[in-house]
Amino acid sequence: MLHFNSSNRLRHLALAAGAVGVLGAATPALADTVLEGETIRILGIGDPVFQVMQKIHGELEEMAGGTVQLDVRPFDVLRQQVLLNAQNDLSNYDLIAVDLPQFGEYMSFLTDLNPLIEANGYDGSDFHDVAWTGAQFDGAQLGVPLQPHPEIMAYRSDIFEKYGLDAPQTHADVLAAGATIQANEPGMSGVCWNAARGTALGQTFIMNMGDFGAAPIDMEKIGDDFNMGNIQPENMRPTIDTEAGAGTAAYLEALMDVSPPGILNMAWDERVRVFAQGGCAMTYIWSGRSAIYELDESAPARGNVGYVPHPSADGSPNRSTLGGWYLSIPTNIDPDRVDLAWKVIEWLTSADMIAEYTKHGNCVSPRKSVSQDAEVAARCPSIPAVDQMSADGFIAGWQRPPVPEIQKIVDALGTEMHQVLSGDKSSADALAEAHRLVDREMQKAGYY
Amino acid sequence: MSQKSEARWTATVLVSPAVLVLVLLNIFPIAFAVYISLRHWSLASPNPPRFAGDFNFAELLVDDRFFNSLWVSGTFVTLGVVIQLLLGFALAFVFNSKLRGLDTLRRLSLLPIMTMPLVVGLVWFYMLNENFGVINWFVTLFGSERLPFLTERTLAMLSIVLADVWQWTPFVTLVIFAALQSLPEYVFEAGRMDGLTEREIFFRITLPMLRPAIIVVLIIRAIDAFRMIELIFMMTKGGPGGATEVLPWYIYTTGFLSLDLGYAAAMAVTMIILVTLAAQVFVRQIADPGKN
Amino acid sequence: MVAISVSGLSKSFGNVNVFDGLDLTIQDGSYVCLLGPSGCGKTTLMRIISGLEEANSGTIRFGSEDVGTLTSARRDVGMAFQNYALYPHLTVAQNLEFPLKSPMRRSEWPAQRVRERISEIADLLQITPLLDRNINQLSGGQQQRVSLGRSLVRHPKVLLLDEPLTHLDARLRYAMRSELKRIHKIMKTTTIHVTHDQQEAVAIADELVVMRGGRIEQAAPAMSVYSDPDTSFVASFIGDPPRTLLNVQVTQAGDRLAAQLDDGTVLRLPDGLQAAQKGSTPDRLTLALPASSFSLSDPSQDSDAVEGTVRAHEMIDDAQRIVIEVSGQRIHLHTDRPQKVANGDRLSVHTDTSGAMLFDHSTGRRLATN
Repeated sequence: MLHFNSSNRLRHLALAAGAVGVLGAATPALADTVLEGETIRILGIGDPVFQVMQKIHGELEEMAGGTVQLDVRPFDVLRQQVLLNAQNDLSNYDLIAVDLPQFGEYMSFLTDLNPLIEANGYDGSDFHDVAWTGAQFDGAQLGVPLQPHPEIMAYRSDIFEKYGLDAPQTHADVLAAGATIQANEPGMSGVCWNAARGTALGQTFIMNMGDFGAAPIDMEKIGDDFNMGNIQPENMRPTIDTEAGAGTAAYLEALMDVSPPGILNMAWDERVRVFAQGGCAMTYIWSGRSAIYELDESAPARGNVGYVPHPSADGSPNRSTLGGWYLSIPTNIDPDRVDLAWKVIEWLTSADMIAEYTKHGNCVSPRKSVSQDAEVAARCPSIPAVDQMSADGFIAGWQRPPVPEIQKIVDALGTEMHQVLSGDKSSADALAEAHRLVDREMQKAGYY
Repeated sequence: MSQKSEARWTATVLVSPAVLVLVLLNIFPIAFAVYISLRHWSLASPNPPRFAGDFNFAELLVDDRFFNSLWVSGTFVTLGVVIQLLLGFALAFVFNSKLRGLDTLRRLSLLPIMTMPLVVGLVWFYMLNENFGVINWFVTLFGSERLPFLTERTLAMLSIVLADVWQWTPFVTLVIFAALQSLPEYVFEAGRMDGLTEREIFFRITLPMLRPAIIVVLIIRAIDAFRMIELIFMMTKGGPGGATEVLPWYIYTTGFLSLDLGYAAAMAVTMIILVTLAAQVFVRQIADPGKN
Repeated sequence: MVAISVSGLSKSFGNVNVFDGLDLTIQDGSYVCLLGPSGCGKTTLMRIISGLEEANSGTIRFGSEDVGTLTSARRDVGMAFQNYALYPHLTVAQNLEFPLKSPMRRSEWPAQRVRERISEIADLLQITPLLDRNINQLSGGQQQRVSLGRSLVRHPKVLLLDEPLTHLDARLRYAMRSELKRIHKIMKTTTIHVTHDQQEAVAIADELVVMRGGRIEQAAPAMSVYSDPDTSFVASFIGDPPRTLLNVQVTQAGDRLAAQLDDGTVLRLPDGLQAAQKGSTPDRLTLALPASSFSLSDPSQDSDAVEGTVRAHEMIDDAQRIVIEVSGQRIHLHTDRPQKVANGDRLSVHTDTSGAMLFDHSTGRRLATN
């Protein structure tokens, strides 16, 4: 587990390390060390980027010249802890990890970073636009991207080539390629995806609904995308029992035929592992998770994977859902610590640090400069692919609207749709029921 | 102060810490759960909690998912506890025979109890997994198709039961074994002298004398099984469909994922009432052992 | 109602030999007490007779039938256990009818007969008001009666009682003695009663079997065991207050034989014993003397007095018992004229050897007198 170095780790050693520049390249913008012997308290998530920080904790503290207290929690616990910490007069943490769709829920107790950005002359333009603006609400910048990455499609380029198949762009492509490969390639199924009951399947549903250019609630449409920065009560009506919803359900049912065994219990890591071992020709994947096989020399998939945006329904634009982690400052932070917290945000999200994380199994870069680095690209082929998708405007965050009720929507869909996939319920009934449940929830919350 | 009132005062002083602990740890949380269950209280909602009357409870009555989870819980508890009792009982008798090597085996058999339920769930999830599970590997060795242990309604339920049985049978064995050891040998000799066969001794003497131990273990296991959530979390998330969604899992997802505390509390309160009622039936049986 | 004969019985647990080649005959309808200190093998002997324990060799006959290979149920014995061994989950009535309803005997006992028999037994044991009670609601004495009732209810050929009174308090124990006798008089079942309490044994039994170290020291009617012990062990074990055993050297004192203690104190031997000594004369004898042989005396007026040190003393009812050590041996003195003594006091004791019995010190066997 974590070992927290107390401040008795010799401060001058750390200072010397910073000054001599053992890893000095990591902190070029800072004349002195970041922490100057102080302690920074971070509440993180058990996801790759924070796991990397745990792994290189010693170096991290040497670089920072102070103590990095990093509390890493599982998803649900983190959420509870963030909500409870918000009730305190004084926050126990200087920085908290926030998942992109959680901004809606946390909005009221996150510090607007714009004044700090202005005061420090910080430039966010190196970040992918959708990643940077994803944390903007009502003109406030609520977080800085640390590890935002999209759910995309990974496919086995070697296998596709073998059967003369093109990279899958649409749902129809996925189903056709899946059927061909499954019929011909022994032991290999078509597609791995999140079909486990509850959160996993619920997220799958809304992200695939995004393939139809539709969101689960009635947000204001702007071009092919939606206005997430200013969601009003009248935007909270569910749009589940719709044509797009029905199309999504039909696609998921069709996917079942080209899925590996045990698909009804498959979720995040498992789908990638099965894909890595050659159990599937394609997998939906949070791009950062490609590290699981790209860094595993024994994985048959290693070096044989192509990346495309989330395949779309016919006629709709490709949109991959952006998710992942930002660093934010709680509003109840001790005012004297705000500057320190900001300095640490700048440091941990710096180009050098983002590149550093990729060395240890976090194949994510929200920064254009890092994404175009040849070394990084060689290490993590998904990073330049995602960079290109970002440039093409194929990445968005509206599939999972940042509203407090998002988990309820996900849970209702994940529960109802699982009955459809298990053959217990018709998709029409399930959609109607999920729609009703969400509608009821919104009414209960008093939006309309 | 008279002697009597002094004694009473002393008793009050001595008992009060226990009462305080009981109130703080038992009564208060239940009372608070009841309080929450009567409100619209969502942590996710920007609106403050407000009184809801019997709204949450009325909602329960028309919630198919709630009734399904009750049914699933009932099935799980019944299947699990019955199998554990039968198996645990048989093992206790094996251990009670004075065969060599059984001592070590008996000690080893306690390991599952000491394992964290979450770990048990994880281990069984991996063993039963259809893509890389060792059990399915064995299944294919025998030329059969892989079995959907965690994604077919009946098999999924049986898999959860299997994991629970694996973990808790040793507990039943332990209790029954201890009870067996404490049975007076004389009584069995009396039975033999009265001309009973071993079989009849088992059914007419051993079993009735073990009854209190059996009922205690039944209550503990049934309540425990009714609260089980870890195996579901690790193995099926309640799927396929809702085939393994036990009540605690539904409460958990409602309360801690969807953060609808009011509705979750209403379910929890209902669950407490049901468990208490069911337990009463059994507790009476212990208190009144004369009736058959 | 059957005679029991045991012959050549051997039994060992692991390498501990309980007994080897034991013989015993018990008359039909008699009430026999197996008596002996703890570990003498009396309980094991009874358990072998009951069939709960198997002998290594030897035969057991009930009448003319060899029952050695039969289960205890087939031997048709009834047994009351030391701890009662009642079925705790049944009521008194259910406990009593349990033996009748066992599959082996069910056919012999129609429901009507069972009811009659239960009420008969309940009357006999005076437990009719308890019939509907649970076992754990009964006192020890009541449990004892139920246990007895259960062992008697189906008219067994042999009734075995394993320390049946040990767990009762003194008053109840006393009452149950006569109760057992009364019941036996009515039932006339051949009864074997194991106990370590010689008073109890003498009070109840027709015949006593005194055991020690896996051997039968003496088997005879109770009174003759008392008055005419075969061995020095029996002489000391039976009798209350206990007899005094003195280890003596036989010496010539003038024309008479005398007994000499190790410190040179000499005791005169009575005439009858003189005769017994003619012929075979072992060097050392064991002299058994009843408590009444000793009295406190004034040494100035009693030339035969021996002096000793008080080691223990107690009052029993209105008599006093004093243990006096003389020449390393202990004399049990019993007097109904109590006086104040303290441990360590020196006292003079007058010894009347007319009631003495002589035993060969090395074998423990009685030396014939007359």
